[in-house]
Amino acid sequence: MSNRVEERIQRTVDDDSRLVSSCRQGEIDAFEALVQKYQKKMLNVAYRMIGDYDEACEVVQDSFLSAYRSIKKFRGESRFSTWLYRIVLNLSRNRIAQVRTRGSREVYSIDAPKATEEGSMRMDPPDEGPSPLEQMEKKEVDARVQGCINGLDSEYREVLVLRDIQGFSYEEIHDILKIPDGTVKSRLFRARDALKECLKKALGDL
Amino acid sequence: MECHDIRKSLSAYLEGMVSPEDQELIDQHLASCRACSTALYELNRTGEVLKNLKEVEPPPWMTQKIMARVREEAESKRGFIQKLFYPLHIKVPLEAFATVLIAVVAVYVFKAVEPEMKGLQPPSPREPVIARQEAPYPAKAPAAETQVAREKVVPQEGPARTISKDLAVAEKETPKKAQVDEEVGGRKFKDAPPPVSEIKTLPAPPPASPSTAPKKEAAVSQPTEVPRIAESRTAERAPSPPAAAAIAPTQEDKMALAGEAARERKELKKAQPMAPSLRMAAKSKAEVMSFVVRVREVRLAGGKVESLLHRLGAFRIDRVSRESDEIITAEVKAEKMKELSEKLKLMGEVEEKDSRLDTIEKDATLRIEIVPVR
Repeated sequence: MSNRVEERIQRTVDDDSRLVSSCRQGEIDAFEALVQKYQKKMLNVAYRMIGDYDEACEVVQDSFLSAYRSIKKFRGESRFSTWLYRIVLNLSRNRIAQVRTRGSREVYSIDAPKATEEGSMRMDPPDEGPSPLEQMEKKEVDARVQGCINGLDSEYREVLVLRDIQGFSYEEIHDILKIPDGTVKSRLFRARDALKECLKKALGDL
Repeated sequence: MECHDIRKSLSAYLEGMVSPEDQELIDQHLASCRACSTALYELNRTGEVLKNLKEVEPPPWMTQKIMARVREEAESKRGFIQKLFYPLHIKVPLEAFATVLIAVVAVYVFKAVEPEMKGLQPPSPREPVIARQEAPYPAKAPAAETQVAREKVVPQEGPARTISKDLAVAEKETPKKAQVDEEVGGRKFKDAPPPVSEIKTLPAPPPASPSTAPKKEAAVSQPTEVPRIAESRTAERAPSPPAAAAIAPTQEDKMALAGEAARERKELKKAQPMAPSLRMAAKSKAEVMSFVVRVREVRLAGGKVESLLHRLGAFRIDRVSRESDEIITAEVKAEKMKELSEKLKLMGEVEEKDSRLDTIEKDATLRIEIVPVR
């Protein structure tokens, strides 16, 4: 089983490095293949990091452009995908910082009235009956969860996104973020703990 | 283990990333601690919620938009050389073909135009002179004819100065200095390269007297600096009859005596035609032309003249305004003189002082006086 997974990964890596070397020789189509291959995952990382679809789209575009510009500098020390995720995470972090300094983004507040399609509602503590989580539509749950993620600092947010949402291995996270495994684990623990507390309030129950 | 430590390990415990000993400890604790087992449950739920988050799909235009930007980037990044040569397999043959085509067309055009160009070539200033000389003496000795041919070569090299030095020596030797001088004056008409039109108006050169001519010839052949052609010519001519010799000097002196003549004339204060002397001056240095322009508005005309000079590409323009008149000095290219003169005539009454326009051969220094109408 694990052998098969490794094989698949190895094949992907080989494909990528072939496409990357074609890119370096000026074959733009090869880059297009890479874009098609990774844009969805890139977008999801960016979206969970930033919490805004349109901005995430912009960041992904910028990331690919940036990757194209520096593809000659890509030495192949890590996987191409790792390198790409590193780029998108850096640009996402920058975007978050920009938004923060602009102050235009309201960080999700647990007590503030939450705008929904039915109008403004207050997050009351859970009462009896079916759990609020079950009553809520999936879309709404997603929005609230994202709100809680947005409340985390970038360094916690990124490990959470990579590990719990995107399912990267610790090794991959270590490669992407270039931080020791111990740091990844401790950040992840704190991120989960904080998110758990936030979700309890945001969703009423878990 | 206390709750606090247990809670810290729950994250790793969930992922099965704790040592077997720790796992046992945590299991024991969880069985007895409700708060911690609730925490574990919540943590597990949190993970599930995160995993169940819906993935977003990229907009359909995403790839195209990215690739459009990438292509734009690629275009601007491509260097000039790359644009010229890449892709090699298409562009290099194309460029090679274009080069060959250009070369072929250039050769073809050159060949096609060459005969016409020959016809259009303006005659060298000296050629008319020679042609004219040949006319009066149709029955020339063969020796003289070869000289004519050579004549065409020598004058163009124009060693007038060096030859004239030697001429001075020759002059000292000859007792008939005055006579020689006169001849020089006469010949000089032909020496200088005046405009063709002027040549026609000049009288035919006076035939040199047979007695003086050979002497001159000898003088010319003596100098060390004289081109060898002159020497050989003398050698050829030596046995020829005086009649033939008489013709020869007139041709050869044309170039040989040119520079010297002016100087001699100065020294001897002989009456010489005006035009040749001016021409000589023009050859050696820039000529001073003097105009007097009579106008109604002196200041206005001054400005006009100044701008006219600028337009004609004059240099060292200097304008001095005085009470009643203006004096403008400048240096003007010879070919612009005629235009200048015409323009000046449009402004008012023009007097040309001690100079003639058509004698100008080089850049001339101008002095334009603008005075009010009397």
